[in-house]
Amino acid sequence: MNCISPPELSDRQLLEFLDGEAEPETTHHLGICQYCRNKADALARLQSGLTARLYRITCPSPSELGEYYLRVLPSPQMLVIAQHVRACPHCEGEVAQLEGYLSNLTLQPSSLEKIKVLVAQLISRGGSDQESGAPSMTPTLAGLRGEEEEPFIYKADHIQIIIEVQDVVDQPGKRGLLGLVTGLESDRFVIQVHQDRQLITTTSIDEIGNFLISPLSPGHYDLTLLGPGKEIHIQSFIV
Amino acid sequence: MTDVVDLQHLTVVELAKRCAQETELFFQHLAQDSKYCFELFRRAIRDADQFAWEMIYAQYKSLVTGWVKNSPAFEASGEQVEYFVNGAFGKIAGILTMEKFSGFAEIGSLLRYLKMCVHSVIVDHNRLADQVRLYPLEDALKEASTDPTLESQTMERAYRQAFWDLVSGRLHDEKERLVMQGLFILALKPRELYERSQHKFNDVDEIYRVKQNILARLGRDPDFRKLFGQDD
Repeated sequence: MNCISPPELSDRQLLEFLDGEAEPETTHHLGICQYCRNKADALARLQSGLTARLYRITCPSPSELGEYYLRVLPSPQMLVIAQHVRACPHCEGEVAQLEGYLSNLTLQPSSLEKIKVLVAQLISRGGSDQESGAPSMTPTLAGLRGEEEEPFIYKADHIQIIIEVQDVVDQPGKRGLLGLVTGLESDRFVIQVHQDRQLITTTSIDEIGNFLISPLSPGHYDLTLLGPGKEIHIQSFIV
Repeated sequence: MTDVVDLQHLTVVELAKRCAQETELFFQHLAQDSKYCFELFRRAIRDADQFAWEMIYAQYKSLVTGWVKNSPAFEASGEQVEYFVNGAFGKIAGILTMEKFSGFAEIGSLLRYLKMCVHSVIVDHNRLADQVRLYPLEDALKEASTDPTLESQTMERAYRQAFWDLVSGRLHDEKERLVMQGLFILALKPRELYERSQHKFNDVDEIYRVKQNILARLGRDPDFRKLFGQDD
């Protein structure tokens, strides 16, 4: 194939066309000439491929820009980033946005956000807690399935959470969590199970504080009890 | 001195309790002492104390949640609030060293740093999304670039760095580096680049000539073609 209307367009003309800066004659030529259009397409692929691979590769990370703005970096690094920000409209914009964002350091959570967040502590692993007199779970939760382990007992403020991990008989390799929560002021609590920041399941805690989560694969999970005005976290629970 | 000794003898749980009490006083606009919260951060950083970080998370989660929602960059992200809340705490735990911490005199400046971390995780997310949306890689490489696993993200970054190392090694002078930086790294148009660096170039025509030379040279380079995937 050859150019339909020689002379064929130069690379310069094609680049201007791709930048939206072409003369009308160039645009017209590309409308009628497949040969030159193919050349333009090849240049477009090369350009877009370069940009896709290199876009902002030399820009400091947002946290580096943030530390630059807060002046917590060593002087040599401050200088390098300052030079970059002067030359880069993207980083200049991000720093300006950060400046506006930090200018209002609201330290008062909104009334909507005022939830008491607690991290539960593992206080024992046994049939009952001698100090609090909390009942053993075994007769209460009759879901005795397969092999039992000693329950985990967590505490957050006056709230106690007892969790047993058991095999699920009809699903080999899977495990279930039988739980009992005491000290909650409301029966409107749910428990969420996360793994690697992904929500696995959510289940309700019944009116007497029981919950059942099944089946789970063995692994580490984060459990969160959510309810009116309160959030209790059990982190890195091993199933 | 007595105060310093007292702080040292407090456990993380005790510090967290006092921090929560003093913070509540602050919210009620009453006199309060922020040293317990400050010491909680210090323990977390100095001792890489995961439990202290969990206490900090519990203490400041509601505050950080509000900051995420009020971030100008949040709405464009399309992500859940909790994703960035967790990301912000992960970020501060990862980058706040004792050396940096020694530059903070009080809890206010520390919380400002935490708010900066909120901004940075959202902007980081948006930068990646912008790149994928505006300048997508060809299909063969797209799967790696959008795969969220750490391993593939690391590989993708390594590929991009290797690509940049090769390209920058093929540039001849400062003008070519400016053109590459301006047109392909910052994605400016030639006219925009000229407006930002008029003292370096005679006119827009010169920028186009330099760009043309770079593209022609790279197009003939066998190593570039191979890494670019043109010779598959």
